[in-house]
Amino acid sequence: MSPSRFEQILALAAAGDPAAGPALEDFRDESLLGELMVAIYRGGGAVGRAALAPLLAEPFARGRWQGFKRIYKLAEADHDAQTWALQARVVDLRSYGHPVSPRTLGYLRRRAYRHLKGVASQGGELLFSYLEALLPSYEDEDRSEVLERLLRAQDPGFLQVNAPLAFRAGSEAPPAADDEGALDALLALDEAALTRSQPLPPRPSAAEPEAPAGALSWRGPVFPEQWVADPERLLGLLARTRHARCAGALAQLLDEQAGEALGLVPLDVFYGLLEHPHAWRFALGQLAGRARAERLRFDALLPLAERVAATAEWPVLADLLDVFEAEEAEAARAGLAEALIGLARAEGDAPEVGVVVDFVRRHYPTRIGPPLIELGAALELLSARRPDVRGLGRDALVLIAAGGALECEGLEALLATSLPEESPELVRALLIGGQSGACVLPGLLQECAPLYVRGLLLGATEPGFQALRGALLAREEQASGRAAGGPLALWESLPGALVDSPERRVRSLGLDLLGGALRRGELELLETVELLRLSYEDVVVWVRAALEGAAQQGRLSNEALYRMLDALQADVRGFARGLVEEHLARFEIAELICFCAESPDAPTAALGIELYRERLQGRDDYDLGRLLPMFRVLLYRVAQARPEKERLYRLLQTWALEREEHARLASEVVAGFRRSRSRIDLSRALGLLAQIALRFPSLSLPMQSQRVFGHQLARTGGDA
Amino acid sequence: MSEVALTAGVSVALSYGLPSGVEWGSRAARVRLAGATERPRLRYAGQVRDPIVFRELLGALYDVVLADFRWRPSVERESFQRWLVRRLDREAEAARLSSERRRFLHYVYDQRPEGQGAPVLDPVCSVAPDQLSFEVFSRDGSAYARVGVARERMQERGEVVCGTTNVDFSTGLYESIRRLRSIFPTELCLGAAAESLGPGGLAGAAGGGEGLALSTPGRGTHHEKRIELPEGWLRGFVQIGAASLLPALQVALEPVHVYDLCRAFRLRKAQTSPRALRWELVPGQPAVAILEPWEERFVFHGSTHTASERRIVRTWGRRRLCLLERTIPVCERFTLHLLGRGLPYFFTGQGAGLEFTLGLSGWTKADWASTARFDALVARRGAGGAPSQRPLAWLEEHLRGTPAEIAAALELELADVHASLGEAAGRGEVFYDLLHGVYRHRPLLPTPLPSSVTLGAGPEEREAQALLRRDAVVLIATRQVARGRELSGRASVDSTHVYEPRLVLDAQGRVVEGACGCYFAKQRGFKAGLCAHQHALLRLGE
Repeated sequence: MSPSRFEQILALAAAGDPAAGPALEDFRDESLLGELMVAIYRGGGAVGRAALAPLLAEPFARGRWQGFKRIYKLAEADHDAQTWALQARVVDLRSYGHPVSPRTLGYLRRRAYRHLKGVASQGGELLFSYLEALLPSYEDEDRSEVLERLLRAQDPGFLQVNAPLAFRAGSEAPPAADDEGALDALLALDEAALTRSQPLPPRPSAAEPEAPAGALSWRGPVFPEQWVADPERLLGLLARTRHARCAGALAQLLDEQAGEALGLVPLDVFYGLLEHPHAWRFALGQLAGRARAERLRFDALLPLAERVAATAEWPVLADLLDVFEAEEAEAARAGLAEALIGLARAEGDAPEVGVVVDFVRRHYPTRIGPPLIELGAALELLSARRPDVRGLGRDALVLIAAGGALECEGLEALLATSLPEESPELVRALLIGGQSGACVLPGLLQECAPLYVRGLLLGATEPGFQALRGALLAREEQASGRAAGGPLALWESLPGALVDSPERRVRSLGLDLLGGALRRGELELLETVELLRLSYEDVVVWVRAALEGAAQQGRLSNEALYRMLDALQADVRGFARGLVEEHLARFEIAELICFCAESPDAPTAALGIELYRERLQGRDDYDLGRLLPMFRVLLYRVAQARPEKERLYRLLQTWALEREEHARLASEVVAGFRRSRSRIDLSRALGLLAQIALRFPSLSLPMQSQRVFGHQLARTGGDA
Repeated sequence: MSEVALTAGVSVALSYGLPSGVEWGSRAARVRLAGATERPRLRYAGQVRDPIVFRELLGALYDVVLADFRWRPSVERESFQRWLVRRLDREAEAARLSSERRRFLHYVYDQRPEGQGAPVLDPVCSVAPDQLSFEVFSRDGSAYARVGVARERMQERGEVVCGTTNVDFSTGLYESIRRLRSIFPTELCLGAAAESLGPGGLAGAAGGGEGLALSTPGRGTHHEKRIELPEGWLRGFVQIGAASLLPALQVALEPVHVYDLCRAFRLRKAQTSPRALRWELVPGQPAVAILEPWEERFVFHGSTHTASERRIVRTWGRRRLCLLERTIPVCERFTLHLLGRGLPYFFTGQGAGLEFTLGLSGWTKADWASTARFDALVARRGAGGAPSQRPLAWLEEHLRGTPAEIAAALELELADVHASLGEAAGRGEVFYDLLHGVYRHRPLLPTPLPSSVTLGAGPEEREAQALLRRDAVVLIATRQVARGRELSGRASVDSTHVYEPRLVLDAQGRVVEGACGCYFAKQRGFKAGLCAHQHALLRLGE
């Protein structure tokens, strides 16, 4: 780059041309860059300073550093706070940067501290110009060696600030709750004790001797008296400072050393500091200190209260709630409800939440419910370990139920809480209607499928189950008074669903309901036959007893018997056969006998055929000959029903020997077995054929027989 | 509704407008079988003259539908047993289950959403001029059953529209069918006749004190049942049709003979091989069945057979014969059709106006759909080259006819009729009724497949086509022999694999004998159809 370029840039800066900045950044001659920077700095002017700023912010390059170093010393000498602060921040925060060694940077930091110390010793406008240029340029978490030394952060009392809670005074300290045992002890307290406000210990008054001076106290930054000479200006600086340690130090400095000077500062400054992330405690303390003397602006406290509620700052919150107890705070108080209820939900088990619950119950009695507390929130509250929080949930639940917002899913969760155990009466009232007037269960039952109610009962705890059971039975009692509706299909009804349940207690409830439905005529006895197919002994015994009772009273329909006789389960068929005989002892029903006789079930068919023979033979057109196809069906059962077959053979023999026509028909049925390899079937068939042959010699049979040594020998034309 | 891609690249969609069921009135019952809405709307309504026989036949059909004789791994058996004990709540009750109820529960177990069991395939129902028929496959695909009821045994009512459809056949229906009795007049409604009545429409249902209308499970106004037809379902029907066209030895048996066989299978179970049922047929003597491995002889006195020389045929998968149990009392005679050693066999039972056909594959594992390739044994080309379409058209019009009737009506050679209808059978449009010796029109698909598509084409056939394309097979000689026409040729697969396939075709163009030196033919004979070289030779011969 030619020297003329050097001069051009210099001229641009001197002329206040904004093009000087880009031109300076494009200047590539390292040997002249430092010289150029210094020349521009010396030239002064806002444009020249602005052009230098990017290079001073990133000085670690050849040429730049030379300029940076010289300007640093010039700014120091000129007390150019703005430029110096920019450079000091760079050397303070950067530990290394080629071509500058860490030692050089350390030296510059020490030099910066010494310069600041010198400025502080002078105090006044100069100090504040440096502080206002330097402190706001630091971010929250910047690690600053210069500030640490300036603020004397190594002193023991640095940032050890007691919470400035002075709204209340003279209360006991809260019980320790840092372990489970202490928490349990706390939970054992009564509700009043739990909801009592729990202020922090009173702050030591100014008259009391402070902690031993020296080692245990923070002396403040270097020359603190110069800092607090203008508290209002320092407060303004505090409001703009984002560096956490620095802001805390300033707040502490003001709190500890500004003294009564702060009392002259208008409260608006402190209201503004309530939004400050690191100084709000200090501001609150100041407000608290002057709360009794001046009227507080509750609306300005509201955002802070919401913030501490969200972060569960219990001591501050307790203090703020105490502030909001004032009558004048009523309007602002309304805005706190949502945040406080949310806190109670989120921190329902916290020891300090009692004061919040107490506040909510006293000030928002009509808002404990939808929309602030919906069903899910109420259930969360009911699941808390603290009784006062659960009480809040109970109150909410009552309002929810009154509004008709309790749904099936909510009922399930409700039964899973401790509410049924603690307040069975409330649950009962909720489910079937009570003081609140809400009548939830009928609506739920209409809405929920019976299978869902069964699922509820199956999953419920014992208190929950008992609560729902009581409600269902109470509804049953209410239903008994009303007019009977139309018959209900069992499997579409609640009792039908309950009795088919793996839990005995649920089945027992189902049977109770079933009995009620039968008594009221809502359910046909016929439908209960289906229950016999279940494998639950208690259900089967109950249904059998009901059916037997009906049979003894002559109320059992043929249809019910038909269903049982054709059931797939052998035990049901056996039970039905027992009822058939009892049924027939009262009624002479040919249809039932015929139904049995043609059953695909061998024992039933054998019974029916015998009954047919005993009771119907010879009457009207009933003739055993009509059942001969069934004889074939039964006798050809492969490897089963032997007892029935034997009974049929005996019956067939008796019947066949009565008349020749019977004999002919019987021989047609059994003739096939004359060629069977089943010895017992062969024997029975041949025996019958032989007796027919003896009884009716003229009858043509598919066999020949002759008497040999007193025995009848049969020849079938085969191998028999 | 479901869509299943078949091997031929077509899909079947089936749904039902109404569920099937049994409706009960005060003194009557109506069996309502809903047809698939996608099929031509057949219509039939008639009163069953003998409900007991009808019940037993449908019961036998249901046994086949549920049957699954495949070996199950112990893990699955244990899983089922655990499920059973849990369901029944008592181990003791699970232990004393009857076989019928156990089978039913196994069906329920398989129908669980997470179950792995094969679905139950609904029957194909046909209304023909002479009979109603229901055809089903077992769940393992190794057994086929067909129930035929003569229309003359029914008291028909209203208009009858013949045709074929799938009918909804559920467990609930079977439970209701158990209640059929001769004292209750029973009406059977099929297809459109059932749907026009709707559910619960039985007259007299609201009758006297005993006249409660009985609802059957699944009753509703609309029924959308998913049919998961497995791949090869149509192929199974085609193979059944082809196997029934093959020449077979026939053994006429009495019901008691079948009873004895079933009883033997019920009472004992072979733990070791061999497990065949060996049939020894000597001309002039009753048929003899020998149970291996015990060598127990069953001499069936009173039986006859068509063997003209001493023949020994071994059949496997014999426990499947127990599926005949419920038909024994209702059938007056049975006929066993033996195709050969290890080949499928048929049992047909006939009674008064009813018939039952049980087609069993060569062995249980070789189901009809995947293993069998019997369509290859049936000639598909007539003497004049491509088969005529006229026999199929004639059959579509008349619905049934013996080959002779069709040949006479169309003035065609018998072989041409067989070739034409054999090809149509390969597309699932017709089948050969073994009992009556007639071809029947029974389209398995709502719309006929293109004539270029056959469902029986297997890998051997495709390989044969490849051999023919590169002229690797030559026909050496054609000569007349005692059993028909003998074709011999040479197949040069490559330089080291040269085979000399041989086939004998009877007068109807069916393959009755064959040999080849390849591994496939040596290992399987005709049990899996023709090898690729025999396929190619057959094409050249045709």
